[in-house]
Amino acid sequence: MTGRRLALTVFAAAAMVGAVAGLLTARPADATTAASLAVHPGAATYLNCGWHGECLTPTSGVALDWRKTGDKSIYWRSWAYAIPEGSYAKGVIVNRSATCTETDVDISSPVDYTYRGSEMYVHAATEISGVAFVLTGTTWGTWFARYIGYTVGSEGNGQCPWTAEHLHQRAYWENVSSQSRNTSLYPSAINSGTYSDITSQGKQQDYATWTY
Amino acid sequence: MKPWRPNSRLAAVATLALGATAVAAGSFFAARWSAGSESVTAGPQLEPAATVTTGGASAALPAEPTSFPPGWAGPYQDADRLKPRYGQVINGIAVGGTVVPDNGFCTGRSARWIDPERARGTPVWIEPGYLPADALEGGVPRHVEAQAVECSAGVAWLEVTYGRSAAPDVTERLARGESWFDIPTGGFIRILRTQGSGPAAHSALAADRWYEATINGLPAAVGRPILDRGLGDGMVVMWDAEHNLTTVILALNLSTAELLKVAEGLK
Repeated sequence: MTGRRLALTVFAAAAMVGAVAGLLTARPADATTAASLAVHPGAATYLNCGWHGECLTPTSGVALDWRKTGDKSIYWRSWAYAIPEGSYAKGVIVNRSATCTETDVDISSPVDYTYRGSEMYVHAATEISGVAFVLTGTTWGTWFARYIGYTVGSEGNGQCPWTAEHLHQRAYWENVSSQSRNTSLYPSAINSGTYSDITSQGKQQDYATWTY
Repeated sequence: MKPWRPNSRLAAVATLALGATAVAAGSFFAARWSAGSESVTAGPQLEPAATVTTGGASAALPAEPTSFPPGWAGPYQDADRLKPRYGQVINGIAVGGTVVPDNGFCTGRSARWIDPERARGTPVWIEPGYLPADALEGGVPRHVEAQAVECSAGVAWLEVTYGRSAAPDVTERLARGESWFDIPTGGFIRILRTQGSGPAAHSALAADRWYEATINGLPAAVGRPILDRGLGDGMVVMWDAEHNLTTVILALNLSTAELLKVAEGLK
């Protein structure tokens, strides 16, 4: 084989390899966005009561109780992955108090298009209802935290089961591919404990994935 | 000292390798480009996560939306957020952020959660006669959550939440020019019925969204969503003095017309 023929052969092979690799890694025009959202505890690090509906007379359920002493602030805390990367969701802080005081964060994804669910912070009030924030996801994960409200020192009219100041947090999901609670880390009703690194990956409370 | 001269065979191999690399890279990016990877923006292009939508100074709502780019609802939510939210009495029913309903059945700290099924047969039992199609699955209410509370005098309240499913192709249908209001985009309907709490309901809705109505012969206060066609929370409070019952319907992204149909269908 002459040097010229060898060069042409190598270039042709290189071109084919490059083209195939390019096609394999390209996103088709109708590609979807894959999003996963891990929502972490909104209060401090001490868990009053594991997964429950109510803790005084323990019932299985989907909420955790977090102790509040001193600092009353409640935060939205989340890890988000999105492929492709970008601003994939919006959270709106909503005062949804009824019999119990409640602050929710309503999640839409794509932004303002499809409702995906709400993270619900019961026994927590807010002075910034209606404020919104945009969530950005990356392939390696993006951390986001934002103040959303504060725990209340009493529950109004006595119709809301409540004994002392704490955050009762749960999630409500709609239109998602999967949803889960971190039952491997956080215990069942009544059990308690301290989780000093609740903002770390893997220490989330609720988790959901979806595509659009 | 002799000047350094490259070995001719080594130079040929190096040139070939560089050329092949360049061709491969060129083909790689050409293939990606031709497959459309650079032209796809499936996700909304908005502010980074740390940006908070703060809204303007005016409380007036913008004109009704005719197009729905990502983030379209923000200006309406911002304008609504700036409106006053004082307590007021509508049709004999107190509503607003400062309203605290009576304690009714509950004295001291007697309130406790119970199995919602135990509310069946009591005055607070909820049976919707109408729910929108996107809240049904196989003709039955979809994704029901419920909770109930009992106090010393009996079951004090029951709350049931119905989930609303979204169309899987919302983005594509919007791109084709359909109205966001004509596409199922999800949400929920939450119905709360209490006994002994009087004609009152705590609410975070803007004060100017409330109006009087009569529903099923009962006095009612109706709180419109931010946009009547169904953006944001809407609320209906009905007061049944004869049975000492307060019924609250709270729905996200449901039109006023549908909200009223849910209220009218309640037994």
